[in-house]
Amino acid sequence: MPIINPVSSPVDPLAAKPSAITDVVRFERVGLRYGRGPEILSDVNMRLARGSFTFLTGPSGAGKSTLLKLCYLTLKQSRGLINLFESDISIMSRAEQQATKRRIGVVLQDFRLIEHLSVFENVALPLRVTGEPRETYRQDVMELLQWVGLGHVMEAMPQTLSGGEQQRAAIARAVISKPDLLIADEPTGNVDPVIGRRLLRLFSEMNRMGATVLIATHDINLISEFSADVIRIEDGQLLSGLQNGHAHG
Amino acid sequence: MDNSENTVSQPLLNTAADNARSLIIVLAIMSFLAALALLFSLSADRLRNNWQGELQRTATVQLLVSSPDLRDAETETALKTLRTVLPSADIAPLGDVKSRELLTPWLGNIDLPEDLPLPVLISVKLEADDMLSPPLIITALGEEGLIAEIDDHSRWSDQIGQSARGLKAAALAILALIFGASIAVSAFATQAALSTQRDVIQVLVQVGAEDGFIAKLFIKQAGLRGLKGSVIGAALGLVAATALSLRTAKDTALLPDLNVNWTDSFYLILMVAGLTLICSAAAGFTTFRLLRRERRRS
Repeated sequence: MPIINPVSSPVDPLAAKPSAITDVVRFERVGLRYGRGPEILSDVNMRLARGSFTFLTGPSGAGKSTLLKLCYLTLKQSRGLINLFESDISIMSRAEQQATKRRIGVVLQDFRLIEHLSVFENVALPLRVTGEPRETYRQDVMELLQWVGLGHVMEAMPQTLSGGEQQRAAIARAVISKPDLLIADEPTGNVDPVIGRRLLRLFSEMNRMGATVLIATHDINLISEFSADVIRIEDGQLLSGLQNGHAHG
Repeated sequence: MDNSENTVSQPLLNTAADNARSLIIVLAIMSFLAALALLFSLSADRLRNNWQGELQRTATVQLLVSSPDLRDAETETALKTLRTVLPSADIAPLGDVKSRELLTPWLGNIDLPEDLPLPVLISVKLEADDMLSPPLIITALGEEGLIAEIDDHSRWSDQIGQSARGLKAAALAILALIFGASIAVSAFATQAALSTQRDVIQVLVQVGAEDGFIAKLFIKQAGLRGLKGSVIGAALGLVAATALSLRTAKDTALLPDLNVNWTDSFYLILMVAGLTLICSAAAGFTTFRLLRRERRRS
């Protein structure tokens, strides 16, 4: 079985990066099964270096979302080792796991915006759960919303926004706490190509500022337009790595 | 940029998602019943104190006259002796008419023969702080050559005490049951709320919220609902008990006198606080338990 080693390079090599390359995500022979069923993921070996920008691609049902769920701690592996920020997640306490989650920004395909909260409240959520006083983050949230072009709808409810606006709100929520790892599952799936490219440029900006970015997508055209590492998954196994559109490994 | 906005956080839990009004109504009903039980218990306690106090301050001395000819003389001697032994007490013979009346419950409402030998009954009413000592009185009367028995009503007082204690225990048991039911209601409501707000909780967990943070949301919500329900119920209970006390005092002698004191409101406040705390605690415990269970499943 080929072992993929997509130790990714940053999108912009001129951007300031930490000198020591450390793994933000490391999978070693990770397997996942539900109950006694077959393995959905098998012997996954993967490393994401700090500051890398990586696409995870593959056909629908290949296991992209499942792999991401392991990365953002919604699922637990059945076997193997997963290190996040150089800590073994299997021996983390509940509090440590939640603290780790606060270092990860997640954008899901269905956005997961809370319907009864305004756009502002949705975006402020990661800061609010830390118990920070509202005054300390109010300005930051408002500025970020202006930056992503949602300044005029910050008091609106999510269901009144367009798909693209909801997407930007979800991304704003994912990045408001300046996460070390940014994970997105088909972030361009519900938006038109123009908005999709704009969103990816936003992720590039985040990466330029130091975040490690992992994006699952099956849109090969989009991938080819960005200079990033690529991991391909099929039937729960990492098959081959593509770097800047070229196969390796 | 308008800085006047976003000054107050919106509640993270969707208050419209679960049926809060039904829960508040149920809690209000339970609080109403608890308030009645509590007020009844307090009234029963006061009633027992009043009745026992009154009985303990009265006694009846029954003088067994040695012969009908000496009846008046011995009565006079007994009164004199009693007034010496109990100088501050109100001492008076009951008289033939009253003595005959006392026989009515036993013999029926019939004309008793004039020559029926009746015991001499002397009523003794003590001052509030005085204590009655039947052996001392019997000894003092015996030194004057008189034979007497004393009914200090202790039998009735004990029975009243027992009955009142039973009523109080029953009221407190009802109160405990209502508190227990409140725990169950709050736990079920929290369970339902956790289910309806599942999406919100998933997002909160995803952005790194600790269990304690999530539990606090439900504790606060349940506490507020518990407070609302119990205040409404307690207020209605106080009104109902007051109305009942006015009615019983006027209309019937069968029900005990449910007089409501202003000091009872202190106990009602304690009860409201208790119900609120119970609702909050049950919500917190349920939230922690279900979050742990959910984690084990995933």
